[in-house]
Amino acid sequence: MKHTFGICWIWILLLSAVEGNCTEIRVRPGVNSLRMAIGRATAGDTLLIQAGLYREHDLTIDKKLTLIGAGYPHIDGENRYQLLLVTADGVSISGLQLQHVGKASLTDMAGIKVIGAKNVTISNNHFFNNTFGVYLQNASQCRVVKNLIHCDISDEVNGGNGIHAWKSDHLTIERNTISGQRDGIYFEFVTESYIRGNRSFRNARYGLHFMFSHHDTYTQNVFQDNGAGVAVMYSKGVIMRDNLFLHNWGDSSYGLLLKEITDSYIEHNRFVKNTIGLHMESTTRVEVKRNLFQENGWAARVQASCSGSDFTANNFIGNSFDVATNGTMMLNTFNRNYWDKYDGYDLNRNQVGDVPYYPVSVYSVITEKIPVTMILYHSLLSDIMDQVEKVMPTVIPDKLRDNEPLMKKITL
Amino acid sequence: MKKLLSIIKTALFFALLAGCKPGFEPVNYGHDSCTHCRMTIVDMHFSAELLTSKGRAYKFDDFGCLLKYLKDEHIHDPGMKIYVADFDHPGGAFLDARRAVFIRNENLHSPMNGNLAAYTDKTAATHAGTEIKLLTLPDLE
Repeated sequence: MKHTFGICWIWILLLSAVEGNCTEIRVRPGVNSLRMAIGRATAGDTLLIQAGLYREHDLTIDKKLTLIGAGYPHIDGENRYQLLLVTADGVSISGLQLQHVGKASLTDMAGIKVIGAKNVTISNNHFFNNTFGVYLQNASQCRVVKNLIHCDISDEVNGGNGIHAWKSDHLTIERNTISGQRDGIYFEFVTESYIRGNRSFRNARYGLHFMFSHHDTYTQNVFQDNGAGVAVMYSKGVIMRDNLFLHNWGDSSYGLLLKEITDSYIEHNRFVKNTIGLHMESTTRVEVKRNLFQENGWAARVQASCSGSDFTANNFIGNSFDVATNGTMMLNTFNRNYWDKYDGYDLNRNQVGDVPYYPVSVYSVITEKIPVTMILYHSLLSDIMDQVEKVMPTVIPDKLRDNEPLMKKITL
Repeated sequence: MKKLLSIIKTALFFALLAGCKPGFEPVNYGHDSCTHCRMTIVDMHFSAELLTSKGRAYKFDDFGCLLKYLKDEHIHDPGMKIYVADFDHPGGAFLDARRAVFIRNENLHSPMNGNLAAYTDKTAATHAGTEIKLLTLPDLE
């Protein structure tokens, strides 16, 4: 494009005022056309960005603007720069394609970075091959809705996160599709926020990752084929409801990893085909209710460091091991779950089994101590051990039992 | 197929065990998990490794995790070696933590908020930025 500055100005048409002094500014591709349009606009204006390629970067939006892309205009960072930096409250950005953001060792470069602003809405954008897609820093009451975030750079280890939030609060992250990043969504020091209806798949590390983030809720999300599904760590008051943890498979992969979590709820989720469905370590008072654990290697791994948690009304179907633990102490309770491996009886026909069910099999205790013994799983020897243990329990923690196992599957 | 693979892996494991010498074990980024916090190690800038005198390697995603692990597990092993990733050369050779120079800065955003970057020496560390207080391993312990 060899247009002169003068020609650029022709493209930036100032239309008549719509309401008060709000103006719509039409932006066409050209040398620095976006930067100039942002510079000229006043608070409350709308920029209508026309389709095309904009090689512009480090665009700071420091007044309340609405950016609307028509036909997904491409804003390109040439694998060297970051793109939009929002520092003003009330900014709205939609319909853009933000691509090829660069990488730096000290700054986290992002397609859209919000720094210390409130009420920013980022919706219906495409983010392709960026280090970080959306980066929220000291942001409050921002909404990230219906964006498509994807990175297909094979060097996944060096990538950044799809949606990254740091020291923020009251965020809404809704109906985004995220793949190929390091973590799909990453919350660090984020409080009282909602994550709803997102699809996060094939990310290098986690689909969703919480660190030191309290009183957040995530519901109706799908986490599939990630390095590991979701990790919730060092947080309290997290509500996890109606999510699907599907096929997070690998050496030590899991659907959901909890580490040092207190007072949280895991309700009505489905854990299907994960190496470990739910892994709990040093957790306190976590309610695990009405979940489905189906066809996992280990449905739940509850380390002896956990206490005060309660497993109630869950379905355990077709898992290789239902529950595993690494000690003989068990300070958590299991009540009224359905276990497909339960072979007890129900003489009084009250739908509750008359003998308790011990969900920890001998073999899971042994493999917990000596992982390589896994190669003997389902061998004659291990089957004999299982039978012997049923008659004379010695190895498995005595307290880890369901006194009222249900005879029928719970309809969830 | 998976089973076969795990059998081969186990066989290899025993084969290696026979001729095992204590030595640095490279970190398999994206697969190995941190001994302390359980997270998958992905960030090449901050990873660390503890090698006991018996030759057992423990890997960490953050130098802060390694320090916490030493403290929590009360490890007193005078023969142990501590390695830390060189911040300037991610993915390259690890440094001996006892000789490295550290910088602590919140803006580093290390995986577990240890926020410690290690450098080969003082000059490398001072090149890194401003307002920096240089630290060595005894300062951190």
